Formats: sequence, structure tokens, C-alpha cells
Amino acid sequence: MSHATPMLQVQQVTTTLGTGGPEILSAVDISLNSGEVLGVVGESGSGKSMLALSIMGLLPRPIAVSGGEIRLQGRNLLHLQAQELRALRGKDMAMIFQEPMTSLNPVMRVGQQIGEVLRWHRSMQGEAARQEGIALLKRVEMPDPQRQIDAYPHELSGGMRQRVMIAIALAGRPKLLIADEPTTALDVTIQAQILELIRNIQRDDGMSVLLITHDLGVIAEMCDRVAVMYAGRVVEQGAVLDIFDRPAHPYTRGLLASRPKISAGASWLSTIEGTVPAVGQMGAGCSFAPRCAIAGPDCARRPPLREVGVAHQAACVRPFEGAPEPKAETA
Amino acid sequence: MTQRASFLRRLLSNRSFTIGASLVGLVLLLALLAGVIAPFDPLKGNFRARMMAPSLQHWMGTDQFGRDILSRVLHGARISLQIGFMVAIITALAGVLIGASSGYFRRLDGPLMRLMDAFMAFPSIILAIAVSSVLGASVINVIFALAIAATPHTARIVRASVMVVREMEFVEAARALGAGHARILFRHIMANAMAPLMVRITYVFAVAILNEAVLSFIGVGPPPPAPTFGAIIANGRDFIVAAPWITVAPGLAILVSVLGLNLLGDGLRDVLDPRMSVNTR
Repeated sequence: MSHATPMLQVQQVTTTLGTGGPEILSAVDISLNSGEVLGVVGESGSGKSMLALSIMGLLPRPIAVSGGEIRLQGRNLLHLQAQELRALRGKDMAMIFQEPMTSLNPVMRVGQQIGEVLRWHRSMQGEAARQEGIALLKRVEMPDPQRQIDAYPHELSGGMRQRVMIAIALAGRPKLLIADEPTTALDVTIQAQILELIRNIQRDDGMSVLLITHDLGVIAEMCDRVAVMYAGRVVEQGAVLDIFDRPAHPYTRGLLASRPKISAGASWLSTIEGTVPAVGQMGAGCSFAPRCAIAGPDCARRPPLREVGVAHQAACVRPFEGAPEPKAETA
Repeated sequence: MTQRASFLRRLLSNRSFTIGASLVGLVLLLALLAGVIAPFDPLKGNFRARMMAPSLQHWMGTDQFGRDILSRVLHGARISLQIGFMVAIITALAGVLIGASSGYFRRLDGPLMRLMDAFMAFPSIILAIAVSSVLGASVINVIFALAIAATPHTARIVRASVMVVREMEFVEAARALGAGHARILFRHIMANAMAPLMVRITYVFAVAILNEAVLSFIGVGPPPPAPTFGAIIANGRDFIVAAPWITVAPGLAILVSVLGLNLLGDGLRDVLDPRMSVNTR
């Protein structure tokens, strides 16, 4: 498995706002093997969603990829014609969006919206498409699929709409599923159901999933590996257990420390002082340095992402420094 | 299903829509049945019955050639409604084509909208007069002249609603599933941007009837003896004191048609876009 071509390889991808403008993503490297779930975590504005849109080729103008490679099963997506890329979207790679309330066309029935994908990517029509649509709704554990296939989105609850979104995403039998905060807009109980559903389908199909979230709990639950993003860069990447037990980058440690813990009775959550630098406001050095407790003069140059453990990389000149002793309290 | 049913119910409980639809329906019915219910041939004169005031035989009187005004108005309704309808259809098609393209493809926006601005620089009736005089007077040319005059505003309206819907998330979702431009534009965007267009089109219909009358009145409308509302009025204006019925009857017909269409459009607007509604009864 590990020696095969990765499902998705993002190498040194940089996106800018207009040609020669400020960088939104800076030399981002991630890779995702087939059948693997990679979590991308970071706070708002860290570039998580931009990464997803870069892969799908859906960056909103004037933002554009200015360098690097994005390979899906070895094929460089950045060299494809618009037409070829369109044929891949929904078929080889599909995406689920954050807002199930607004991601469905309000004037089309559920069945029509699933049917569109079936027609484009699997040449299914009429009764066959309808039956497949019902099967897909069953697959996403939609109650009463025979009836709901004729429903309009406004007749469905948020959780049900997200199930429909997943059914639509699965309709083209994608090998890569990008889920951009799929549960952020849902109730906590529904969140767990949707995550479990994605996890089950991923296991059954051996699909690769790129899961974007700001919720570390979701990462712990769902992912094999995780990439931590900060200000448009990947600052740490590795297996979930390594990241949770031995976080190398001070930002990752800050993120982990700011989770509420039931065991600790403290009434104050720990926070990371300051905010993410705005686009175009980043200096030449480590973009986390202004907020970092252990920053020094050597942080004025941008640290590259380098190995700090087995399949564990971090972009910090002093990995692990100032880290508390690893405790066996993480899940 | 339920959505459609409740939409109809809301339309039918809207007073302005029901009154407007009844008036339009009445005019439409009379126009369709003109051949059956008109008591006389609208084109055939009768020299023994010239300039007769309304009577039991000629309900709306006769003109200087002895032609029955009621028959002329009924047949005129046919032509006038046909012109209005064709103008509405052509304007809708052209407006969607131009408006949707410029709202969706940013590169086309500048050129197309500047062109529309150029058209809008003229008052639409002046534009229609100019086009009609250049093309020559015929029913088809009048239709084109009026459609050209109505298209720029319609394109503007379509463009505005396309630009709003274009940024909605389901459009991006459709794109992420591999939808092409045509599919996205017509199936996903236009389908959600129809409401303002429908309201606009009822208005275009009404204004086309009115403007056709204006064109006929100043002599660049459909050529005589075709009885359109405007042509009948134009014919009667020399006798407006001696035989006012010649102008009053078609004038009332215009009033009823345009009022009906406007009320219908108002009702549609109230139901389709409650936020834009002015009267809350």
C-alpha cells in the first residue's frame, strides 16, 4: 500500500490572490493514500477550505494556484483542460460542503439532484437512475427513501439534507471524497451520526477521505493521519496518535491545550494569544512566531517542513521544545 | 407537490392577482371568440350606417365608413394581444440570453451591459418609433421594435438575479459534481431566478399593448386596415367631438387589458417575492 502511487499528492502548492499577489497557501505538501482518512485541521482563515477548492479546481477568482503540483492517482490536475477536470469532478473526486441548508438546489427534487450525477457520470437515466437514487438514499440511512426521493430540500431537516449531499457525492462512486466541515452546521447528536456514516462508507468502499475540520475531537475519531495548517502552511503532519501524544509544533500544542477537558476542573480554557496574521501580512519567517512562547531570533527565517519522527513532520526550528511530558489521557 | 399546491393557493387568495387574471382572461376570451361573437365584418364598410352612435344594432356605434366598432375592437384585441404576447416572449428570450450571459460570465458583462446602456439611453417609445420607421410598418416589425425597446431593462433584471444566485452554495456544489456551464446557468441558476423575470414579463406585455397603440396612433404601427386598438383610436381622433364612441371603445379595451395585466403582475410579485411587496392590505 505505502509504495503504490498515493491517491492524492499535493506538492508545494502555492495559491495567490491575483498574479503576483499575496499568498493564500504557501508551499503546501500533503499526501493521501488510497483508503486513508486524512484530517486537515486549523483555525478559521488557515487555508483549509482553500486547499480543498484548489484540489477540486474551484478556487474563486482572482485566487489561483501559482505553483506546485496536485496529483490525483498520479495525474496532475493542474495540467488538465477545464473539460477534463469537469469530467473528474463528481466522478473521481467529490466534495461535501459545510452548509447542508444551502448546498442543495431549492427548486429541484432530491431524486433529480442525485439523477444529474448519475446521468453525467454513470449514464443512468429514468427508472434505473431512480432505483439507484433510492439505493443511495438507503445507503446514507435516509428514513423512507422511496418517499424522500421526491422531496424538495426545504422539506428535509439539516441532518437529512447532509445525508442527501453525501448520497449525491457518492453517486459518481468517487475514489476521493473531500468533506469540508461536513458536520459544523449540524446538531451534536446528528454530527456523530453523520461522521459515523462517512466512516462506515469509507471503510466499505475503501474510499480516500480528506476531512477538513476545526474540531480536534472529529479528527481523533475519524482520521488515520492529520495535517495541521496555520496561516496557509502545513505546520505539522503525521499519524493521529503521534500528533495527539507527541505534538512537535507549538501551534499544535496550543490547539490541543485549548480543548475543554472533563478531567481538569479548571473553569478557564487555555487559549493561544493573538490571531492568525491576515493574508499579505505574513513576514518572511515562521508565521506562528508572533504568537509563539518559544520563538527566538532563528524563527525569522521560515522553517521548512522536516521529519521529526517516523512519518511525522513539523515546520519548527525547535520541535518538541517546551512540550509537557506526554500524558496518556488522549483518546 | 405540496409546494406547488400552496403556491397556487396563495396566488388565488391574492386579490390583485385574481382581479387581474379575470380581466385578462375576459379580454383573452373575447379576442379568441372574435370570429364567432363579432356581429359584423370588422373590415367591411356600410355607407348607409356611417358615424352611427351606439345603438342596439351597433353596440359601440360605427365609424366614418360604417364599420362596426364593437367588431373592430374584438378583432383588434386579437391583433393587439398577439403583438403583446409575442413581444413578451421575444423579450423574455432575449432578456434571459443577454442578462444570464452577462450575469454569469464576467467577461461578457462589460460589453453586453454597455450595449444595453446604449439602448437604454433612448426612451423606449422613441427607440420603438425609430426601429419601426426604419424597418417599415408591419405587424412583425412592430413586434421587433417593441421587443428591442423592452429587452435592455429585462436583461438588467435577469442579470441582477443571476448574479445573486450565482454566489449561492448549491451552485458551487453543482460545479463540484461536474456540472458544465450551460447546466449550471439554466438548470441551477435560472430556475432560481425566474420570479423577477415573470413579473417583468407581465409588465412588458402590458406596455407592449400600450406602445403598439402609440405607434399606430402616430402612424408607424401595423398598416391599415388591420384593426388594432391604436389604429382604431388613430382613425377616430378626427371625429373625437362628433363621434367620441370611435375612440372611447378601443380606449376602454386598452384600459381593461393593461390594468388586468398590471394587477396580475402585482399579484405575481406579491406571491413570488413577498419581500418586495408594497401593500400589505
